[in-house]
Amino acid sequence: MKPRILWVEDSARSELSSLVGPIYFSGKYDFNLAEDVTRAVRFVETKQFEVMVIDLRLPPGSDDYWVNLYKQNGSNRAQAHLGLNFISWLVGIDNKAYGRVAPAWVEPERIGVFTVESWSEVGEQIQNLRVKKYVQKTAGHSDTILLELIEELLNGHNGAGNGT
Amino acid sequence: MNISYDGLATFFIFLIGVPALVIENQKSELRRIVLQPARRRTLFVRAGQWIALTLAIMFVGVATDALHYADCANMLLAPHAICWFFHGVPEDLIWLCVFAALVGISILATIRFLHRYGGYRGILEDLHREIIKPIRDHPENVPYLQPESLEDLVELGRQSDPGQDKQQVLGELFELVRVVCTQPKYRGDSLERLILGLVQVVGADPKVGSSQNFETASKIMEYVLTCERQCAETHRDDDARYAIHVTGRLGQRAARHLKAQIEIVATLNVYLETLDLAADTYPQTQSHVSGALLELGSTALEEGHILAAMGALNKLIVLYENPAEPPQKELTTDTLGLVAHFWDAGETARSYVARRLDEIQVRLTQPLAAELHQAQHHCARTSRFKTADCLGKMIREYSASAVAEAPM
Repeated sequence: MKPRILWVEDSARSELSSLVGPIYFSGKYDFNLAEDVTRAVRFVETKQFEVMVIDLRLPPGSDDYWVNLYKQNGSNRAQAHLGLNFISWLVGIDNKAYGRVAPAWVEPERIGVFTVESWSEVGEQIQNLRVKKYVQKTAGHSDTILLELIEELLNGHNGAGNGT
Repeated sequence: MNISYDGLATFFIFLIGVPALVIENQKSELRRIVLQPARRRTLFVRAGQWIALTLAIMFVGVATDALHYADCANMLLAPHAICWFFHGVPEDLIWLCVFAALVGISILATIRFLHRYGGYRGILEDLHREIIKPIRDHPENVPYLQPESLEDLVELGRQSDPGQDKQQVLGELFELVRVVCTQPKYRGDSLERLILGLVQVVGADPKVGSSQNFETASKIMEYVLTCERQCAETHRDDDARYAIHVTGRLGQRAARHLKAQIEIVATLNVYLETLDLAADTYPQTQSHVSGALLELGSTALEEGHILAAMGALNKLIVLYENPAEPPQKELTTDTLGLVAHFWDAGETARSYVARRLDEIQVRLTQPLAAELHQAQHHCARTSRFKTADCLGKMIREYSASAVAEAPM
């Protein structure tokens, strides 16, 4: 069975071809893309993923819990940082308020954060969530950056706070 | 008595005219809904309430004015205290109060009518109430959506302009799906009309939806496919099958009609992921999912959305590698069918798919040529002639080119 990959990201619409193309072309992965937190929760409740790459600026989707959380935090993706709440739920740090139990198979080591936020802005929170891999999205990143990140996570290469 | 009949008549005519003005200025699709015989009565009742209130205030004004001039000592009907009270009130003040009340009513009636009939919101609220009436009245039954009003809602969505107008109707359809799916007696077969109606709302000519409309429709399908049924013992997959079929169909429509939009790749991806979720949630529907992936992938390829086509092929191959039990032969046919479309789509596509074919071949139960023939026959029988033609072409060309071309 091919490794299952989940990328939770909503703002790469203009870059999908360049970032996802190499993954489809490789044919090595069962790749899934969720564009909001509600859909991401549905995916992790339905399937078990070897690797999850998560953006921090995410829209809530249709689930009332995430919608309310989003509103409480200013109704602004950059401010709400629902990605952090999602990871927090996934790794079991904060799953009481949501009322759903996070899947037991989730390992923080297999979660990567791929976001525009700099390490100085979110590094401490990411470390608190025990996530080891963080890559900052920058204008000049290569087309294969996502594929490389996935492969690093699969191979267990950690690079905390490297801000690649 | 010094009654301003002209003033009273003006207010009366204005109040009669308010509903007519609001309806006249409505969008045609909304007016059609409001003026249907069943709803026309509601409209008259609502307008009648305001007119009755106006008449009542006018009556009170005239009666009070009459008391002002009455001989209170010889009054038989009104109590003397009331008569003496109004006798002392200046007549101008009485009519000032009456006209102030009439102005207030006119403003309130205008606001209420504009809210109720001026735009989508009020009409959608009315339709919502009508559609879920059977559910509200009989929560002990399997949820059932009132068909006539649902048809009206779908028709309203079909005639609405792409973008925000359609989005409001889709939001209402989403809300109805939520209501039904959370009913204790929902068993997975109450949403057929609504799901099929989505094709009308988003994908039917002449007003095909925007990318946002298509994505919302896909999210409705996703909700249908993943909602937790309360009534697990009588669980059925009818709604799921309709949702898969409609997801494939709408994905095709999006691929054809949103060509110029920059977000088309992402929109098609949303459809692919919905189908992916369906295959995991309902493994027994795998052949429906594979059929939808073939249709969506081949249309995307035809329209030049290569990433979406690659995504569809990727998902088909993953399904093919992890088949549900018992294995369904349609899965092999659909996978080879999409491979054949790639084969027919140019040199690079052919080279790409030749490499992916290696992954497929290891799981085939017969030699590739025999499987391709079988798939071609199956596609011809199920009226997918274009796919059958591509398979035929691949059968003729594969053996020669597989040797000649090295995979990329």
